[in-house]
Amino acid sequence: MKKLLEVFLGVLTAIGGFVDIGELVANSEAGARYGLALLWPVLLGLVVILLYAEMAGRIATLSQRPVFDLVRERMGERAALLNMLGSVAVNLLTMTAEIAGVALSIQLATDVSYLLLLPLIAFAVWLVVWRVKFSTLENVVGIAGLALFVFVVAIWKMHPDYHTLLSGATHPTVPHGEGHPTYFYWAIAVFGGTIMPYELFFFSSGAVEERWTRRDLSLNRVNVFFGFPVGAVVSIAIMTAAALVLRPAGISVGHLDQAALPVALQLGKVGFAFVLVGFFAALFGASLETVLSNGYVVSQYFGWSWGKLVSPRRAPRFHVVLLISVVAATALALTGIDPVKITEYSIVFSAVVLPLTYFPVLLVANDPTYVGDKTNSRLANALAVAMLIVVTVAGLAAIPLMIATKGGA
Amino acid sequence: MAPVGGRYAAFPPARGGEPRCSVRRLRWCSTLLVATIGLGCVGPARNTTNYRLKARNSAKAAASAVATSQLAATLVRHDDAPWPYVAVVLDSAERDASSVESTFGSIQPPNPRSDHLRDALGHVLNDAVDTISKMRIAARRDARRELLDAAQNLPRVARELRAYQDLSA
Repeated sequence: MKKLLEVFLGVLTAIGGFVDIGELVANSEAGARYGLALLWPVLLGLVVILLYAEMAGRIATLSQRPVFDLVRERMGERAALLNMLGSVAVNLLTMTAEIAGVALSIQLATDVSYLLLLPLIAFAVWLVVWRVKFSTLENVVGIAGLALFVFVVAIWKMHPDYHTLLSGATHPTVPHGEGHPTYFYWAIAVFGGTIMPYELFFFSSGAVEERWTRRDLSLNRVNVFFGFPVGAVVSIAIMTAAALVLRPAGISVGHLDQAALPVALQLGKVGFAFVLVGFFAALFGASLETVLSNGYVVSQYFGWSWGKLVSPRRAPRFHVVLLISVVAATALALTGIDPVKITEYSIVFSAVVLPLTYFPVLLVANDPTYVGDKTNSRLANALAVAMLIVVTVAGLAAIPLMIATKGGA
Repeated sequence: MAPVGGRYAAFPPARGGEPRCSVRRLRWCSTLLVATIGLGCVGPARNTTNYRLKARNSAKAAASAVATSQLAATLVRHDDAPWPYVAVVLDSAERDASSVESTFGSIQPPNPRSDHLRDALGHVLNDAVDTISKMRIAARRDARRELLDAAQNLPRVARELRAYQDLSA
């Protein structure tokens, strides 16, 4: 049982990373708009995150050094500063959206304005980050996040024509009336959402927090190769459900509530209850990941002592960064700014800082000084380089496409 | 690096000739920002074709809100979701439809010929907002019958909006 629970670091990272508010809405919108023609960015993103999370976990396990520590060491202080500022800004935007998303998920059940719920949610996030044990956090959120498999059940209950679905996924076409730039904007949004930088920071720092040792290398692989595909399955199911229910109705998805419609229509109140639990867990998990990531990134850049397991007295600056992050994100969310739009933009902006995060990981994973004899295989390197090129191209295209398509309108 | 002076002289120089570069960068960023914001704003339609395109997009966006409301009505009909959720869905749909209505209404028609299109589509959009509003009010009162009565108007509104979605440019 203990071994089984240990894989939940990967599940939590993946549920929070793959299924945050941006993905919930972006994948639903992608499904409603393009059917399964945007399945390939999810799969591409899965390959990228599998490769790089495994490397980051392996490096953290063998060297006891998390990703950002290495970013500074390998890229130099200036590039690392740029990366740190970019990552913190993107994290802050994402955190704003996630905390607002948790409040929105409660609004779905209560019809109480999410703005009124925000301070309570922010307090809960801070309290959990401060007081709750790392293992409790990952087990509870990871297990509750699995409630999102209700989307898979709903699809199964719809008895869709799987051949047509598969054909739409394997022969992606841009629908009539839609422009190619908009299609590629959404492709980057879906792709970027699966490989947000905070996932790597959180996963590798989590491995250090949990004091993984050389003996845990297989645990790292299980976490990565089980956890992230779980997130991808949920992500694809959300897209498919939208393609089956919302697309024929001509619905464009811009709100979290619309993402739950396919399940509620198919499975009634019980299905809806599962969706609520899943949304809450995924969004709460993403909030925790982004808050902690900010603490990790800033502390690791400045060389402060850090860690959720380290008491505030021994790592005061780390805990102050966490507190400031929560307060800043909540203040931004309280302005009433649309959380869905924020997260869409944060995904696009994150695509810009991604290469600066992924490149040093690739370098270090090949350096015996850090990983001993566990350097990358040739195949892993070939794939990782190819994926880094894809990530870089996506990063370069992200902002021009956002401007040209008016944010995918 | 070009010397600092002229109209840039008001900016205190720092680290050699960098201010000019900074000013240029600032201007470039400002232009980009204005362009970005401008792209997202609604301005006057340049010509009839442009206006008809905007009308078509507005109809499409409103049709999405109407379709969402229809699904909410289905949930209520089969008792498949709690009232608070139905109310939230309808509230979002209402805000979307209302935003489309006010945005379309604020577009300056390019010529008198376009006034007719403005009035006709404006009327349908208003009808859509009104219907969804009634449904939202009923949902917040847990009034099943009233909600379903109001929802009966949705297929007609959806049909009318569909006609505008097929509008040729």
